[in-house]
Amino acid sequence: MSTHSNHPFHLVDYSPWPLTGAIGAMTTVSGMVKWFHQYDISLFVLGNIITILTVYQWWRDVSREGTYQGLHTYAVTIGLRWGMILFILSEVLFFVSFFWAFFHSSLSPAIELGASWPPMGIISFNPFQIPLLNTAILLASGVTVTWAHHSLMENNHSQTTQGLFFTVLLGIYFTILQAYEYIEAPFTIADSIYGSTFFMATGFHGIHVLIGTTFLLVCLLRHLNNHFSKNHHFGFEAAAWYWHFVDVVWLFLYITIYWWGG
Amino acid sequence: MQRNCFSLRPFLRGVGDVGAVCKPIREFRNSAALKYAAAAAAAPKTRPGKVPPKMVKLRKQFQADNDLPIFLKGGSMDNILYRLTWVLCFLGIGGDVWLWLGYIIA
Repeated sequence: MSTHSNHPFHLVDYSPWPLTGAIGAMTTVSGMVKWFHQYDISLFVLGNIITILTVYQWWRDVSREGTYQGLHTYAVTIGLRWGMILFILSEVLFFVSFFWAFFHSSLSPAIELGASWPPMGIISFNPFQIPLLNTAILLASGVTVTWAHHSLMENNHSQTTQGLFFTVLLGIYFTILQAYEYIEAPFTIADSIYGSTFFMATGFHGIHVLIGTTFLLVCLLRHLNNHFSKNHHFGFEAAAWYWHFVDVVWLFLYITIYWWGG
Repeated sequence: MQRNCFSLRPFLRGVGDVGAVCKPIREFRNSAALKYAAAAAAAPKTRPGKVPPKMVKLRKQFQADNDLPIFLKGGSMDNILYRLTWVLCFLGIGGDVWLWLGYIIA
């Protein structure tokens, strides 16, 4: 392929990854059927491996195009920004559904729940223990990722490294605490609508924390390999946007589900 | 063309506007491209820094015009990963067919 053109847009090359990604997704969901009906997780695991291999190589190629081939011009980054904005918007609507389900049940609890919230028999978490600590951790991680961003824009390599490192560390710490809380939970996902909405909302948030932490870790590795400059670092900005989104979702979760609904 | 323009420049001296004859290679003809070009031109200028040798080497490697797609330009490891992915894909397709045929036939 040629990296020279008379326009600022990126006409992408042929790529096998959309097809392998589709095969991976199909294998994963077919594997779920096999798992649930035949108690065999082999196909499910295979689908996940295919998907992981695909996303790794796909994003690797995007990084190569942007970093080594210089194909991510200003016009291209504008498109990438809009893509990320729309993705985060879809994530917002994704979480709206969980909050909707929670408020639907909590604002008017049915007679089967004992006409009270939390439902009868449910012992909820103390919001001023681990949940409050997790809130402080995520807020601190928001500060550290902003620190890293400003350092990058000021062309300060070492401060960017430190900011990113501490952000990843705080993300891992949050996940560990959340896992501990799940282990110690006095109720399960099958315990009335409270358990279902609680674990659906906090569980998906936890997955997003894992994704965000991985995203930031990849950015840290790319930064250490000199992929970013003060004017060309959209990969990092996307990760920072995503992390701030995860942070805000947790604030809503903490206030509504842990504090008010607990 | 640009090279030829440079070579003709001494002979064109004094013959009107040289720039009108030597057109730039890169031209933006649509309004969107012109808008982006203006925004890019207005971007803050930075002092060029020293590029690490590793980056220079990787730039040359990935910008080489060797007819290799981007997903194979990295070398042998790219090839291995690519083939591994397709092998697993065919295994996955086989597993899917086996699963669904089992349900259809049963």
